[in-house]
Amino acid sequence: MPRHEAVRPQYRWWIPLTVVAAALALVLMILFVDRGQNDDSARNTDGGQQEPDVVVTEVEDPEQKDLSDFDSDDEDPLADGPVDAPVTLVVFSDYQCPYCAAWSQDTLPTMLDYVDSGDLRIEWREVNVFGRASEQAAKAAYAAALQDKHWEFHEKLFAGGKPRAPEDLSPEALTSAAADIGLDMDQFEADMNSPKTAEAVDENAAMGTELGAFSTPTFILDGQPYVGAQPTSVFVDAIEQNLEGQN
Amino acid sequence: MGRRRILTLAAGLSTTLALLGCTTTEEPPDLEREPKQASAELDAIDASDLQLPLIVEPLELVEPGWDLDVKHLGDVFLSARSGDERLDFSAVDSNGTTLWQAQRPTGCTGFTMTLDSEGQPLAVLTDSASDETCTTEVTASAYDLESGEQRWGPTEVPGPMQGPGAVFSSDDGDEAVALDPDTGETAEESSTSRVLGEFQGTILSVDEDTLSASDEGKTTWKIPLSDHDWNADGLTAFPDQTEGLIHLDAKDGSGPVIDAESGDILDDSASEIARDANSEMIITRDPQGLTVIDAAGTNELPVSLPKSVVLEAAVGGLIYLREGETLRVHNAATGSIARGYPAEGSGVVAVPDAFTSKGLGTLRAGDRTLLATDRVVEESAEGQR
Repeated sequence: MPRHEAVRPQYRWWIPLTVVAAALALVLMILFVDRGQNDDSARNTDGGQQEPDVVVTEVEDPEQKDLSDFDSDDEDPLADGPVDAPVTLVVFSDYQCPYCAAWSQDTLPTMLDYVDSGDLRIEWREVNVFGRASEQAAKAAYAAALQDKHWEFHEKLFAGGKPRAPEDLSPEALTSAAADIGLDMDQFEADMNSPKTAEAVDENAAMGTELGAFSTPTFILDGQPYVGAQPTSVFVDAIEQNLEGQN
Repeated sequence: MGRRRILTLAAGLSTTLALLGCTTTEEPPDLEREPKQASAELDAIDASDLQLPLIVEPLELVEPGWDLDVKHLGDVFLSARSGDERLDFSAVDSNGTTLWQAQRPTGCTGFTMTLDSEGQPLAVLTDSASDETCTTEVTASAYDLESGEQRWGPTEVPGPMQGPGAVFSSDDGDEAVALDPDTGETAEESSTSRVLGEFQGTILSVDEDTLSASDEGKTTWKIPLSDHDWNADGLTAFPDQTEGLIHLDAKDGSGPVIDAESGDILDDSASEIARDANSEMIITRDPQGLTVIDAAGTNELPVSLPKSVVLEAAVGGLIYLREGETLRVHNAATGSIARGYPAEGSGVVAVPDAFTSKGLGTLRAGDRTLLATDRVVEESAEGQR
């Protein structure tokens, strides 16, 4: 064997093969990624592809709901009027809802006249479908109600028949509103932040959700649902009919 | 061959292959691009497992197999089935008869309907002979909506359909053009204006100061931006078209609803709109709630909606709202809850989508698209559907 052949480095055949294999793997990977991106871009190019399908399975039907099971709680701080009043009005509202504010200004005073005469009990439920600021406001309103100042506080939040902007429903802004109506501030802040209040607010919101109150305001007047801030006359007529039917 | 040469060759090969991998585009398979007339009546389907709106209960339903959004003009509906190999477009009339079919590469999902200057409805489909994804060498062609006969094209466009209408833009969005529905040629725009959309022949553009609509090259109306505190750069058109209306996004997902013909502003801050072709009412949704606009004027419904609620449709005087998986139907005149479906139903709910003035149209039930035709269900002896 010639000497120079003995010292010649051995040809490592696997090196170019490995490089080519790596290159092929790289190409395949690029093609795969490219294809995946193309698939995505095909969906996003022009909005022609349908949006992800939402499978709707339920149709809200007021006549299917059992609205009779509203046990009045004598201790409910958000309720006003005798627990055995001949007519009960349950209101599902939200502190960011424009029409809830409008109804509170236009129709609530007339409803409170019926409360004063003992003919009506109002049970107020905050559903908080407009977001976290509504939930915070609902806790504050509940805390105010624990000091028997629900309507005064409610009027502060819906002043002028309009809802506050979300930033005006911050804990600081709500505390300021509570101070304006002369609440015991230590008690108010303790109640607003208490687990018991949070639980009560959650329960009320869940009741609204269960009834499909995803638009607001929604009302139940002696088992009959009403959607939207209908004119005062609608509620007056309904109350009068109920009162007449019971006499 | 020396080792260095082999290694150099291998490295060169790998680089070449890698570059090929980066730049190659997959060519579309052979397709039947030219519309093929069909005139085939689709079979009625059994929809007893679905909850159907009362408005379509007496009607026969067909299932054209569409996967893309459905568009309609007059009594003709157009969409496509999306497969691994291609898109199968089909135009189906309100009788449930397939009028014509055409194939396109899978990426060419952009399509629209428009009207020529004589009011003839056209279907505009996109295509690319070299690129299955339809992002390069894109062309557009127009076909008579009813017969499928070609009216113009293929016209080279800068990129995929951007919409609304026959508006196409390059990938970088720098170049957007609208095509003239009569000729397929690029509609002339001044160098200082930006095309926002094409609305059944009306081309909408904006420059620094003015929103302008033109028809057949003539300006039909103008709105100074300063009158409404609109910003030229921030003004865009919502992609979904509603017949006779222009809906723009002026700020944060809401903006004006404009009568396309007159330029009258019907609502200045709507986030969603629906047109009830049946009762000729327009429903807009703004921060306050829902507004119904009809010949009698404007009626704000006393209902406030959280963001999670979607305005799905307005058909036959009823408004269909959805939150999550629950649908709720309102009376458009009073806002009160209406009965839109049979009581105590079960199964997937078919939600109205695109309807004609005669109350015929498409429904979406999960991933299925159904068409309620003008064929009336023949009741069986038991009176079942």
